[in-house]
Amino acid sequence: MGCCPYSYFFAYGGNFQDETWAKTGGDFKAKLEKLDVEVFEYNMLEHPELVEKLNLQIDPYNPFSSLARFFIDGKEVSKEEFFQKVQETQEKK
Amino acid sequence: MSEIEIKDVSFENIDDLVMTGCAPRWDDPRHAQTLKEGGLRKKEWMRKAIEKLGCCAKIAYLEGKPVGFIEFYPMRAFPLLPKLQKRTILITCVVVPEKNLQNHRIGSKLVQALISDLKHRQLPCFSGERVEEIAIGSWGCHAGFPESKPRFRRFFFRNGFQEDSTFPDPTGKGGILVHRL
Repeated sequence: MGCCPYSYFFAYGGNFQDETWAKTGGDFKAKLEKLDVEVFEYNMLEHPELVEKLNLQIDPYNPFSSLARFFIDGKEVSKEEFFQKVQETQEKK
Repeated sequence: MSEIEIKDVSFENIDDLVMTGCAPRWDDPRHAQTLKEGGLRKKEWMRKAIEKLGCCAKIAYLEGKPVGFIEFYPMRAFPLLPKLQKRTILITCVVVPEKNLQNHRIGSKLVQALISDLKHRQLPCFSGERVEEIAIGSWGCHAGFPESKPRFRRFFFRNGFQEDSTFPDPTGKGGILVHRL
């Protein structure tokens, strides 16, 4: 996430184009944590080494920039694959 | 309208900047929690930036109430941006969030205060030398609603900025506006 509070908002699913501002990331993060998912947050400006290593799609001129990435056992997977795995794990419990 | 007062951001008035930036929606329960968390991180960031860089924002006050701000950093502070030989300050944000206060030249006063200040101020991040140019790469070309970009661009043109097609932009979007001091 970038240097604007809204980048944090966007990182968790906020939608700037939604004029009702009904889409909130707050629930998204809480949902992840309830599912025992570890959430790591990095400010891009404070961790340039990670930005250069991982976040090549980031627009460095846009203070709203944010990017969410999903990992299972250290391997990067798609968002869909990630949530499918989380759901399967929950069903087994 | 009463006179606008412009102050540098400092440890004492960080909240004025953070709250102003999020003010219109801060208390909206539909997304307040996430935005508040973002605001807390913004405060941490601002504290570190002031310690490291000195002044990095100016806040506009109307009758003692914060109504807008301009935020700016040395371009070399940003990862992924090319390291220029020039001493360039990058504006990341200019905001007057309350609609009824827009079009009252508060934004222009913030930009002009920054230009005037940087013509004379020697910044520690540039080893005490003066800034050579101010660039804006967010509003008007890289961020915001597409329909409002022409308005933002006109705003910066009125304040002495010009488009510089040679200004480095790794995204290829271009449209960076520059004011040479």
